[in-house]
Amino acid sequence: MLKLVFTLLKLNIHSMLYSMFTFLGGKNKEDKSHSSTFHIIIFCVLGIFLIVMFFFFFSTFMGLAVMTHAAKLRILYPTTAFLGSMMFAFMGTVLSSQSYLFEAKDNEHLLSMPIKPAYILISRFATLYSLNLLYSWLVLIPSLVVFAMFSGGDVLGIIVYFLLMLLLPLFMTGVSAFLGYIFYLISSRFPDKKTGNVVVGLSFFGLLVFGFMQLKPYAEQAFFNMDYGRELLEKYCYLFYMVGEAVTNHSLVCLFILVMASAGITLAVCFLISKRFVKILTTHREKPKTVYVEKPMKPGSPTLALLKKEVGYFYSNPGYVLNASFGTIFSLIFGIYLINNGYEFSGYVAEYVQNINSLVPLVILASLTLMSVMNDATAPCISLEAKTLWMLKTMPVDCTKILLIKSLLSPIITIPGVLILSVCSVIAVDMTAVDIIAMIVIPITAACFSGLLGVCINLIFPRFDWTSEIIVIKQSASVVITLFSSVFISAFPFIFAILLPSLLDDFAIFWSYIIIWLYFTILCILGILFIKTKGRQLFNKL
Amino acid sequence: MNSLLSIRQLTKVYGEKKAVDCLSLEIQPGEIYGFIGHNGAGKTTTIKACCGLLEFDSGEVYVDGMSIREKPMECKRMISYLPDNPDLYDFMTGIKYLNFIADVYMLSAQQRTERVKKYSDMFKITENLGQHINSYSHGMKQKLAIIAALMHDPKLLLMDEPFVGLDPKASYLLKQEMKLLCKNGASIFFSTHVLEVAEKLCDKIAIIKGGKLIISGRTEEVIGNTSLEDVFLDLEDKGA
Repeated sequence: MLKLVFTLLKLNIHSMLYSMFTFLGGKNKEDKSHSSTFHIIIFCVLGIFLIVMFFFFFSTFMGLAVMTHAAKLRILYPTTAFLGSMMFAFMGTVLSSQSYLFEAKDNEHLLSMPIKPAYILISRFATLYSLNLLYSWLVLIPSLVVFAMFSGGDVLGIIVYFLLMLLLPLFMTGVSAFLGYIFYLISSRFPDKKTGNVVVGLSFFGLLVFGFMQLKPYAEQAFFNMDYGRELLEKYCYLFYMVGEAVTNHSLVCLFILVMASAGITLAVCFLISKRFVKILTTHREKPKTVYVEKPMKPGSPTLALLKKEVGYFYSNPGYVLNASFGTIFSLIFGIYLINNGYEFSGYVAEYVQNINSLVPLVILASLTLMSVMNDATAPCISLEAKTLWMLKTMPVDCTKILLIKSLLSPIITIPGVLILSVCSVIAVDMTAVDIIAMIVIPITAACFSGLLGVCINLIFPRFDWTSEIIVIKQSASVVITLFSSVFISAFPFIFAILLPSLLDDFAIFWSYIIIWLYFTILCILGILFIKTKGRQLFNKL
Repeated sequence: MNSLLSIRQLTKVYGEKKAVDCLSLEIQPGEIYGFIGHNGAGKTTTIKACCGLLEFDSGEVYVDGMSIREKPMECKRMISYLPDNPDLYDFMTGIKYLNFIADVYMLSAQQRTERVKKYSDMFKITENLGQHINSYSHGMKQKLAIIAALMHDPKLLLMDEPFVGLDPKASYLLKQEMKLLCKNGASIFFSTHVLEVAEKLCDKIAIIKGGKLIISGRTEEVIGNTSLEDVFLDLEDKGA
């Protein structure tokens, strides 16, 4: 049994990693392997990303360790570190757990083989567990290094810390899988399951944001009063408090309870889902038959038809909507926050950014631009074509046009968020006409750049052998590279503008808007030039 | 007479392997040309190269005298391609997909309305056009792909295993439609494993093995006094 589960797990993980790190793939039929220089560059970029992430979390945990040691509350360090990392892993996996468990394309193929359905389920759980490990270790490895530095030679504590790094992701796997199952049950009640998925996903996301808003005052109090923070964690997050007990006080009882809780919840959820697993995989709810009634067909242009196709596909796929429109969702949340706390926000900005009130619109603009480029819908758009690529390639439409139309998806998704946040900003904060124009034009130009970047990166790293769409939407190399590089590239001019001390008067701010807009426009032109030259060559080779 | 499809010295290499090796064929207007070969012989690669889906290493493909490499858009406007596996846009309804194809080929409102009615009635899927393609069976998808391929009245129809998944009635209708198209001056180049169909339907036949053309010509000349099956098996055994 173990051998079979291991084989299935290997298959799932291989598919996941292959989609994430396409450049590691071997030569394929068309021999599209990249040169070794290219490999080195990619490994360097990946290495830099990991180092930046490591030092970001390392410095955060150093601060936490200094505070907890000064307050003589060492127990709070592992408790907080594990709580934070598990929340990070939870956010990363919960919305896609349904897709990982039930929507893989090879489900029917595997069910037709002499494999017990339970083994398939276990292998799906194992994939989810490895994903939780991946997310949580990004946070936990730097926290372990800091813990070791402050542990004073507590080898047993370090060993327990490491054991819990393996164990707690199992707990989160159980929780994510359970919620994935609940989401499935709710969304399958909707007449259209896809609509159900979007509604459930957005409602859950809204609940999470609401929950965080409610916890904010407690977290602020706990930050300034560590004893109060300890009391809160002991009272409301006892499971994570036990992590602290097990690591710092070497409590075997706590460790045992944590083992039982993690294994228990995962096994219980696995058992619960296994009862209906085959039914879930094989039930295709019959939709009411829509009988076609003939009516005159309206002609349209090829450009509009292709654009409608892109937008139609995006909105027909809930996983795609939920994962590629975070920027728009955050813009809406930020807009609501500004309406309620505009004055407070202006105060924060004035306090932290050189005490300059006139920078408030620029800071809002920077936030909105960064949120806009987070809509990375175009990053998987070539990979998602996969088996339908033949249609695009045989159409009498120039491939440059096809690629440019694909890149428009990002600004289309971004525009509603930009407009709503702009209106909220005008209501909440003092803004000039120039600020308002910049608030609309710059984020949309940035979204155009991010859209073009997504298409370019996906042309370089296409992946067509996915078993579940969510893998390319969420974890493919092109998505990861596009997201981080577009945020980094977009942040650069704002950091420069905000830190530049000459921005004291409105005239200088006006010119900073012009320069930032030109910066994104030049990036867009470069993107278009890439698509027109190298991009079309890559597309023709697909 | 100018060939509608002219394949000259076509070569396509995958890594070390020559999938198509110096293949040349001429397809005249009004001809139905059958392309036969074992699995992996290079049929799909050849067809894909002809419709601009696949770049090739050497040789040239001309559609109505125009190079597919130099004037791909002009060539593609004349071509319809039907793949062996009809993977369509599952998120669209059948009618939206046909409308999308009509938009891409810039058909007028009258043309699209008439042709959708004609072909969907012929293949008996009119009632299903309002449903999403993901609810279609393999055969229905194949029918929809055929309708999409016929909608813009192509001069050259390239088909890879077009009869797979079709019910007998739909197969018969497709054969009739193929004959009608060719009667009106179009050409059809298609691959098949169904030798009886090729024998009865095709004006000309080409047999490919290991990427190389081993025989081509008028069907009656290729077959002689035997059957296409005998000729094919004989050539396979000989390793010609």
